[in-house]
Order: sequence, then structure tokens, then C-alpha cells
Amino acid sequence: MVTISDLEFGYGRMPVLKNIDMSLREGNIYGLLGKNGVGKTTLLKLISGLLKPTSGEIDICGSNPFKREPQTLKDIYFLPENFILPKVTPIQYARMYAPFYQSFDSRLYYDLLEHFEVDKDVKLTKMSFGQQKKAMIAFAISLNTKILLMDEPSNGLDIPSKQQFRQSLSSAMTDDKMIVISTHQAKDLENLIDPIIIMDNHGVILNNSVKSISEKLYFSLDKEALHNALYSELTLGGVLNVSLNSGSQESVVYIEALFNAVQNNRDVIVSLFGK
Amino acid sequence: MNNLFSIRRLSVLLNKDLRQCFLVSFNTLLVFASSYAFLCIFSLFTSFQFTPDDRIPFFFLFTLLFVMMLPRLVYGNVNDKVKGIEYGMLPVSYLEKFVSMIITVGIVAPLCFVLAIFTLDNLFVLISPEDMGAVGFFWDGARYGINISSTLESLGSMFLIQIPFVLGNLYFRGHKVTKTALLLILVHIVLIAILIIFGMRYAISNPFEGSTEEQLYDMVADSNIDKWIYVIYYYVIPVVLLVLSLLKIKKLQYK
Repeated sequence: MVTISDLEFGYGRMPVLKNIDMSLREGNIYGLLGKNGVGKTTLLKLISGLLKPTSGEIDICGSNPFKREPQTLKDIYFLPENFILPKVTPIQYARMYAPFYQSFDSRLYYDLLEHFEVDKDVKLTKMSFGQQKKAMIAFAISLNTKILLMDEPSNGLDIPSKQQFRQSLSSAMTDDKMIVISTHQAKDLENLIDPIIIMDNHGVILNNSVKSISEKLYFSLDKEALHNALYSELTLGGVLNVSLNSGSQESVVYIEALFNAVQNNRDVIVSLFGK
Repeated sequence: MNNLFSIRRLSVLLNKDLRQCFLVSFNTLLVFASSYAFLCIFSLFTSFQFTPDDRIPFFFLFTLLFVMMLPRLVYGNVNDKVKGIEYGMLPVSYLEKFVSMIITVGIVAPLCFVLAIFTLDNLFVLISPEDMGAVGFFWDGARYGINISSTLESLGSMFLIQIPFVLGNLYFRGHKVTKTALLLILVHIVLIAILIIFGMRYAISNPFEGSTEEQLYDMVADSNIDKWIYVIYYYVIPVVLLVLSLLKIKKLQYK
């Protein structure tokens, strides 16, 4: 669905993304992780066609997104981290923007607004940031676009809303859709994102399914840090170790621990998973 | 489906743009209309004269300021790296965006503004015909040299003035109206300087000594300079600026 080859991009002379190669397939909710400034938002903007790559290619079902052709754009929606909304109610907002997307499901939109406890008769500008975000998440999901890109969607959401968000997203997911979520709040999206993409300033380190990660890495809670662990972290229940899965032991993938293990052992991870 | 132009997509976009235009420019329209109404009311209760002759310059000044501000008011966010994303992601072509932009800020909104002021003017004439003149300035066209065709011509001229502001709104990221206005003044100073230099060089090579004023006018008319300036000013430059605006919409990046 989305193929990125040898992508490079920079702001002025400052390179932000280089050597980005990846394929994103429908039927998945990708979690895009990386430290601040590695270019996660930039990558989402490039996929959306909002930026032009310095070199390399992005292919979305045979189209170059930067051409911003209506046929391509009607299948993509990008929900940014911050937004400025017009002085309209969620209903009026949908009346303004939904007609551009033929697959918009108004019933789903109203259901989601209700589920998120967003008052559809209050102007968006009068809402708190969290309420605005929920309204926009409801709108984004209801559009039913084939590609949905979300930048830090759980930022500003309270604890119940995060759970509602996960529930809404997973129930709206179908085999012909692809969702990419860029986030720092990995814990908020545990059990939702799969595959996981981790990138740094040198490119994509990891782009694998949770299953393949658990086949190669072992996450265990022990009394002490293991000497052969790629990463160890002291937690309330003991020491969380991430080590190479020498046998075929099954374990739960802790995304934050995985992220830290990947950051500290770039070369090991790259050779383990391939690019 | 055509990726460049579709009437269905344009109508959907126009619908959104006009709604947005109403939302964001209504307050500004209200400010101008209130100022106009204030002057009318002021004239009713004081000796301040606000006859049709006095009102016409105000009307044109207010309309001019409004049309200059419109691109910034309605489309001020389109090149903002955060606020512009919504606009950038709309599944319509750059040509449709451009056409909708021109229809909204170049035709519909100015016409609504003019209608609002005319309505207000006639309202005050109805309230106090003695103070405001027997009829509104628009209806007494023969006396004031205003009629539908001259009004449309004036609106056309205002659209020409607005075109640089459409482009400035797409190029500049902050203080869009001020920067465009200053740039326009600068460009005019340069153009006038160039004309003076060319005029002086022409005068040196074609001495005017002994020529009457009429002969000088004839010389200018013979050289067709005025016609060239007219064509460049009223046709070439606006078309170039419109094409640049179209290309800018096509190439907008949200950095």
C-alpha cells in the first residue's frame, strides 16, 4: 500500500530523514516510535504529500503523494498533533469537511462522539483541548479512509478517553485499511499497535510485527539485571530484562522496554531483524 | 475521474470555503458596516455633513480595505505548517482550490460587502431623506456618475488590487497584508523611477524645445507608451500574479 524507498528529507541544510526504506501494508495499525526530532511527524507529512522529499520515493498505491491528486488524497487522512479548529460545532464541522470523503460514515461519527462524551452542539473552539482531540479522532475514524495517519493522538486525552480511543480504533479497523500512529506514549497504545516501527536519525531500525519481535527478543521480569540482557530496567515488581530469545520462549512485548533496548543496541537489532 | 478539475469537487470546496468565509469575515464586515452606520448616525444628530458625495469615498475606501484583507482573513492559514494541514490534505486539485479561492474572495465576499453597505445606506436614506440625500448614492447614479456598469468596473479594479494580496497571502507567513502593501508601494516606486529615467532619456534624444503641451501629449500618444503601460498594468501583471498564485498553491509545503 505504501512503499518508501531511499527517502531523504531535510529542513534547509539540516537533514532530518535519511535512508528510510519501508513498506506499509493494509490490515495493520503501525506504531511509529522514535526520540524527539528523529522525524516522525515529518515522515507522516511526507506520506500525506504535505512535504516533498529531497530524494527518494514514496509510492501510495502507484501514486506520488506530493502531487496531491484528489484520487490519492481521498484515501488519506492525517490527524496532526495540534490543530486550530473553526468556530463550528462537530456537526457543522462534518457538514463542511465530510462531503470531500465519500466513505464518511455519519452514523459512526455520531456514535463515536457519544462514546467519547463530546457534546455535538457545542462549538469546537469552546471545548477543551482533550474534547477537541476526541472530536477530531471521531471524525478521522468516521472518514473510513484507507490510510489514516495520526500524530500523537493520545496526547491530551484523559485515562478513560485513552481506553475509548483504543477501543474505537480497533473496532473501526478493517483488512483494507492501514493506520500509522506516531507516539511517545507507547504504553497508551500497547496491545493496539502492531507492527512496531522504531526509527532514529540514521533511518528505520525496526519494522516488525509484535509476533516476530517476541520470537527474537525475550522480555522477563527477574530479581536482578541479567548479564546478557540488551536492556534492564528496575520496576516495582523486579527488574525487567530484554534479552535475545535463544529458545522459542514466549513473552509479552513491553513496548517502552523494547524501545530502550533498540536505542541502546542499534547494530544488534539491525542485524537481528534485518532492515 | 479527472484529477485536475471536477465540478462536483469544486462545488463541495466552494461550499466549505464560503461557509468559512462567512465565519471568519463576518466580524470584519460588521466593523466596517458599524463604522459606516456610525458616520450616518453621527450626521443625523450633528451638523456633520454626510451627503452622497461624502459617502462615496468612504464606501470605496471601506470596500478597498475589505478586499485587501479578505485573502488573509479567509485563507490566512493555508501556508501555516500546522494550521494549514487541513487545507493541504483536502482531496481536491490545486486548480479547484485556486478557482474556489478567487470566487470566494474576489467575487462573492466583495459583492456581499457592497450589498451590505448599499442596504445600510438605503436604510439611512429611508430614515432621514433630508439629511442623507433624497436617494441612496447608488440609485441616484446619473448625478453621481455611478451605475451598475461603473460599479462593476470599480469592483473589477478592486479585484485587480486584490490579486497581489492573494499572492502575498500564499507567500508570506506573517503580517501578510502589511508586507504585501509595502512590497506593492516599493514596486510602484521602482516602476515610477524606471519610467522617469526612460522619459528623461527619451527627452534627451528628442528635445522638446519649442514644443507645446499638446505636442508633448501627442508625442507620448504616438509612442504608444500609455497603451503599453495600460496593457501591462491591467492584463499582463494580474495574469502573471494569478498564475504565480496557482503555482504556489500547487507547490505549497508544510515545513
